Amino acid sequence: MSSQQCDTLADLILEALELGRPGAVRAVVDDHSRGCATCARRAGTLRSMAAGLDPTPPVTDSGFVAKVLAEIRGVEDDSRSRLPPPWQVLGAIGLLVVLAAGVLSHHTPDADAPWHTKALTGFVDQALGFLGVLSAGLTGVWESVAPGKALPILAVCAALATVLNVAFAVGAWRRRKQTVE
Amino acid sequence: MEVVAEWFLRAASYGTVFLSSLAAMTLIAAAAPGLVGRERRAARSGMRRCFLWGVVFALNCVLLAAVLARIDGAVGNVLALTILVGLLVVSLAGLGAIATEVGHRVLLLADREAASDLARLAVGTTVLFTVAVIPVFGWLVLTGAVLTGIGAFLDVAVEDTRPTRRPEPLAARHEVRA
Repeated sequence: MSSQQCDTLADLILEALELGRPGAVRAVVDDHSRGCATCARRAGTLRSMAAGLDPTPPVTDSGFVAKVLAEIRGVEDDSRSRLPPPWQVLGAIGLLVVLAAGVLSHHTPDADAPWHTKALTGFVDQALGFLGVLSAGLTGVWESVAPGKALPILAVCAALATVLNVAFAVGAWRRRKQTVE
Repeated sequence: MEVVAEWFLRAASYGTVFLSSLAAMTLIAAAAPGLVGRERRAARSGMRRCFLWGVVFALNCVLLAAVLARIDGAVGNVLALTILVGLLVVSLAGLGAIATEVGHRVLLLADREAASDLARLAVGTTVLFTVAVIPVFGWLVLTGAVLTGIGAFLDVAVEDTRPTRRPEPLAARHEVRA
């Protein structure tokens, strides 16, 4: 087979692509290249080009070497564009709960309390006042609709909203997964 | 005279809310500039979805807080306060992105395409809070911005909780396609 006139490989690749079977193109190229030196050379060149175009592996480690490699490769640090990991968020929430519990346990709504106590717990009064108004308002609305059943209705509404919220999160999760794939 | 004093007090408290919100949003934008950019993209690509999710999330938080506040003892109050604080943080993080987007579009009207993010945030927040002074319409606009921001933040948060995957080598991808 003349090295300059071999167009067989292109035809074979097109046919293999039409099959749409995984691995068909590679099998066809390997089969043909065994008996054709020109196509073996061409395939080798293309494979080395493809290997050369491979992206640099991302730096997954956060150690010193990884940081130096990222610096050399010019990889941008995207840690500032991502939210903190879940354990940090949960830790912050836990800290907030502990602090709030600490303040509330020592909190007594006393009008005659010294100014420094008022300064410390004044915001708690405001927040609790807001919470009380919110809760009483929502309960009052349902109380007028169904007397005596306001709390169960509120609880059911809260549960429904939670389910909807989770559904939105799952939907977003799946959409992101499809985008990545 | 009392009426004037009352209006002055209202204006002062509104101004305080505006300034403290702007300060908090600036802090968030400075701490995570990339996050704000991604929230803006999320809001632009699916504004209706973000708004709906924001509505659901806000309702969820408010209802849970209202139910927990009915529980006797400090535990319910502590949890309810935590939920409300969380909602406030998420709202500010989301509103910052929406305000930056609004500011960007407003500054485009003045042919200021290359304005800084800080200027966009300040202009957007000022516009939104000033519009919110108008009864009903303004309230709806600001509420819509907050809820869309909440949804955009949650969208980005879900993206961040997904583990990042290493991209496959190009040769391997060719192999799979073949």
